[in-house]
Amino acid sequence: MTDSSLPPRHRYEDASALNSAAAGAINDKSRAPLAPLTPEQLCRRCDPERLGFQTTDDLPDIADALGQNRAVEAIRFGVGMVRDGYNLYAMGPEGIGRQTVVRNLLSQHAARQPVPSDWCYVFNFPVPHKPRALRFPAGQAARFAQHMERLVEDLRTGIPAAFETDEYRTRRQEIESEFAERQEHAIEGVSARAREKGIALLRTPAGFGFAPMRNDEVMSPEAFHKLPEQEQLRLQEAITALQEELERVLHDMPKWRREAQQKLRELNRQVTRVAVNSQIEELRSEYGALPHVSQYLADVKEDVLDHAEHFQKSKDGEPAMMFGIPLAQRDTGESALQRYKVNVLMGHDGTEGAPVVYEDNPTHGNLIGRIEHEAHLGALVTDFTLIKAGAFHRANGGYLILDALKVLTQPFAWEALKRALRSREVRIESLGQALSLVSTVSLDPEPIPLDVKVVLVGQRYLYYLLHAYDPEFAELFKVQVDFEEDMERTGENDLLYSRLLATLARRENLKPFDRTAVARVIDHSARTAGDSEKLSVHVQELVDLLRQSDYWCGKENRNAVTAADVEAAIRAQEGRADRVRRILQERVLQGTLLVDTAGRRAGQVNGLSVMQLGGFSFGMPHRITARVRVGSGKVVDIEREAQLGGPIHSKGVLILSGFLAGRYAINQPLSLAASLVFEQSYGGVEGDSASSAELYALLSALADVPVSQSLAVTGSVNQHGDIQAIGGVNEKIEGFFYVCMARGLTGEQGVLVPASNVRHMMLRREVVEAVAAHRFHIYPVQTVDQGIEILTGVPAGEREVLGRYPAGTINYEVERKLAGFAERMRAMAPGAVRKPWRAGKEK
Amino acid sequence: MIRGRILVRLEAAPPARVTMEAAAGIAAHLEAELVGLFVEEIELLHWAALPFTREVGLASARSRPLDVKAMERTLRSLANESREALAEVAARTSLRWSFKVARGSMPELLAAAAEADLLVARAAGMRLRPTHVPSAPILLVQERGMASPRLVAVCTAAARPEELALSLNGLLRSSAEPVDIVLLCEDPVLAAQWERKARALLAETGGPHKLRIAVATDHAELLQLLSRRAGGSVQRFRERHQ
Repeated sequence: MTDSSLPPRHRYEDASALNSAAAGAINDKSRAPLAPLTPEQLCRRCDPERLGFQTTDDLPDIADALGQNRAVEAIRFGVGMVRDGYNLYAMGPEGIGRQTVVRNLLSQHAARQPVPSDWCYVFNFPVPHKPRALRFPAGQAARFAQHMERLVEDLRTGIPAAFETDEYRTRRQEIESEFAERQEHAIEGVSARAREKGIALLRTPAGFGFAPMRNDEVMSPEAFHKLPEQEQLRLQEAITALQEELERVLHDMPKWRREAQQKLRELNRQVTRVAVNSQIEELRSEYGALPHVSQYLADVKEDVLDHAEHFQKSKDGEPAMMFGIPLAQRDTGESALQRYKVNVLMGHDGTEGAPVVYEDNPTHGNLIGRIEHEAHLGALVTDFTLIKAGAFHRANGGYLILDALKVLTQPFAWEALKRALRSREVRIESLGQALSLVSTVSLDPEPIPLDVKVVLVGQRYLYYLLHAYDPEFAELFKVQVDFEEDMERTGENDLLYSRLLATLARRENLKPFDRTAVARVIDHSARTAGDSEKLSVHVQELVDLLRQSDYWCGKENRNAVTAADVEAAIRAQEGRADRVRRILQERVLQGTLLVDTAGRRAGQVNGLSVMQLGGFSFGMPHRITARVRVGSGKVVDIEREAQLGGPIHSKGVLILSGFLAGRYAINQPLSLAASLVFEQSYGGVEGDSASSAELYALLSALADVPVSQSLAVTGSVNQHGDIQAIGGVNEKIEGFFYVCMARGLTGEQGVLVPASNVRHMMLRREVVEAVAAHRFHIYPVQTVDQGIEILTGVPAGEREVLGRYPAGTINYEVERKLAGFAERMRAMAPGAVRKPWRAGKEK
Repeated sequence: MIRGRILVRLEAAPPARVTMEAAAGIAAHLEAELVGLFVEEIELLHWAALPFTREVGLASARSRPLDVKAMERTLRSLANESREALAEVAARTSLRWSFKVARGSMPELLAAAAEADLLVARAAGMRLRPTHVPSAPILLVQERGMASPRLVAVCTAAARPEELALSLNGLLRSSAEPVDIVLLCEDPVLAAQWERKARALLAETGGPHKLRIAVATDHAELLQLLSRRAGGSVQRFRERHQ
């Protein structure tokens, strides 16, 4: 039933706190007629006159998070602990202001922290697929990137200029000529020796051939065959020897070419070195304090010396020419110079303090960074310039705020978060790589050391689940920041609460709230907290109420928001959400849903339930009936049998058997078969707040004493017959009240509530007014006996000296009925001596 | 006399694109037809027909047996390749063009050039001898680079200056640039006589101021001279000019 609509945590907290508070009252079981509650006990109103200001404009802002002292202390502790694993988990329900409080406190702290280092990725010349990470003092990375850009620009003019000098041209030509002459000389030598023997060296399509000559022409085959056989043989042998010699010469040629190329390369390095040395050394001296940067620049120098040809291309993409001949290029376009670029991953130019980063979309890639790709000729290619920073990079040296649920619902984001915190470094790798789904060679950027404090913001249940099921969680998130949902309602806190309203009104650019409006908001806050002694600190709901009150104030053209505007906002909120409540009430009034509000009937009690639809809760009466007969001591919960009852509801029903057996059948079997049902209930029922109503129905059925239908009941019961606190007491009372009011208040109607729920009363004005006019009554019940007396008008009865209940009481009738059932059971047992049934014995 | 044809000699080797480009450039300049002549040198076929012929590969440095059929197949394949390359070059400059395959020796090739204004050939593959009689000026191209945007004509002493003057006359008139002539001649006295006669004849056409003449005694010197010319040095020409 009702309590199913409340969060389980809510229910447990209320029950434990209130039971202990009411313990004293329960022990004092007075037998005097139970008096209904006075109007003053039904609602603790805030008196505007005691607030001491006219409007919220008179109040200063409140700097601290109201009612969140414990959470604030926890955050301060967390940020102060510079140790591994002291990351924070800020927990509480949505809208409580966790993120705002966390962000404000972190920002205050971060402003006093040093600005973290800049980070760049640059080309790794020895291992190209592992881009190197360079660290710079804050703000210097962008400057270094500019220096490198300028260096490349300068080299693009300086190197070609060096290659256009006469000296270079001459030396290059010397090398080329030397190689060509060496080749020609070698072949010419073979050719000359061939000529001496009357043999010509011919250039053929694929190489060379030797042919006998006559008259300076190649000898025709006919002429050759006419030669003496000895001469033919001589020529053949000579040609064979020449072929072998030529083979040797040609075999040496690739070696000569390599030598020439090596000489040319060395020449290029010498020429390039002149252009490069001064410029790079200048940069190295400027960054001399950063050894890793200096080393990088040394690598750049060596690479430029080896690849001077990259700088000889003109910008419009035309290849470099040498004597009109395009130079052989291993790479074309600007791409060859990409390697000298600097990818500034994180720069802090002009920033102050440590960063506080909130990542709204904590995907795997957004957390640890990613490597993007570009489409090139149908393939996806990448390089170190396409490495993009993630939230860890942005927050490095500071704080990272993440929504716990979002991290947990993004694939592999949680694992990535833990891995980074554990290893204290950010390693960028795609999901494909991390899961070994992709085997192609990709970039493996050097990891960046991580120094970040992570604050997870999430619900409490997530914290408990993670704690229970993830062994690493407790190690990595040692600081628990538990946000309160309400605060004590004292005179001092009322004033602080007023300052909170003033702060929010100004922040939201709302009209000022006068003190009547503030008092009404405070009353509503207590009602939201479900406790007249508490105030809700659910900031988002509060802001919504203030905004909507401001809206209604605007409709009335007032300069300050009044209690009427707040009331209008509350009513309008309810009006927008209460379609189902109205329908259900209409069904009751039409008689479709059977709920009596007058008359008497045995075995039938009005129970109360709370329904929660979205953010709106309301109470409704339900008819609970009980039927009894001889049986084996089982109270059948029809809801449970129909699988409509939840476990807590079933527990409540089982307690009833314990109560009946303990009170009425100590020395005899409980030979009862009873059935309990929520009439016209077509959905699930959960919670034990109807267990007292069920017990009243059972007692009424057993005693055959009718129950007043003008009363409704709520409260759970234990095996001793004590009535225990329940949740949603205000909604339940109002649910029955509005049905009664619609039918016309008779002055007999009212509700039985647990006495321990009295402090939770924050009833609406119309209920309080009806009580004040004695047209409606609310009874604070401590025991079952008190309740049954009010419901039946018959004394419950206490055991007398002989241990019997006095005749004419409920307990006497119940005990007598159960004794009769037991006797009947014994008579029906196998082997028992069957005695004639004595009619009227039970009566 | 302008015949409206530029003949480019295509050798039995992979297409010499720089030579083709040079010929196409001149043909476009003169608005002449580009004629590709693929020469199947008779010497190669004679050599292939010998019983013990082996070819030593330039890249493999290994010898392998070769016969006439294999040589003919190779020549046909190279001719097709050259034809396609010439078509591509001509298409780029929108030239009229034609392609021929001829089998013969150097004198026969030089004779075939009689129908053209200019014979363009790769310098290294054109083994001219002073005794050869070209019927048209020859532009020798260094494959490693365009010899010169200007015309470098080669003549031999065996060629009659009158015929040369007749051919060069048209070229000199149509070209705004000077024309360099390399005379291949072993005898310096004969070369001097030839040069004087040529200059006198060309003076009648009003072109001597555009004419520069150099002398090479053999094919090797001719190549050296062209190579230096391609390298930007024109000293030898200047010397002769003075």
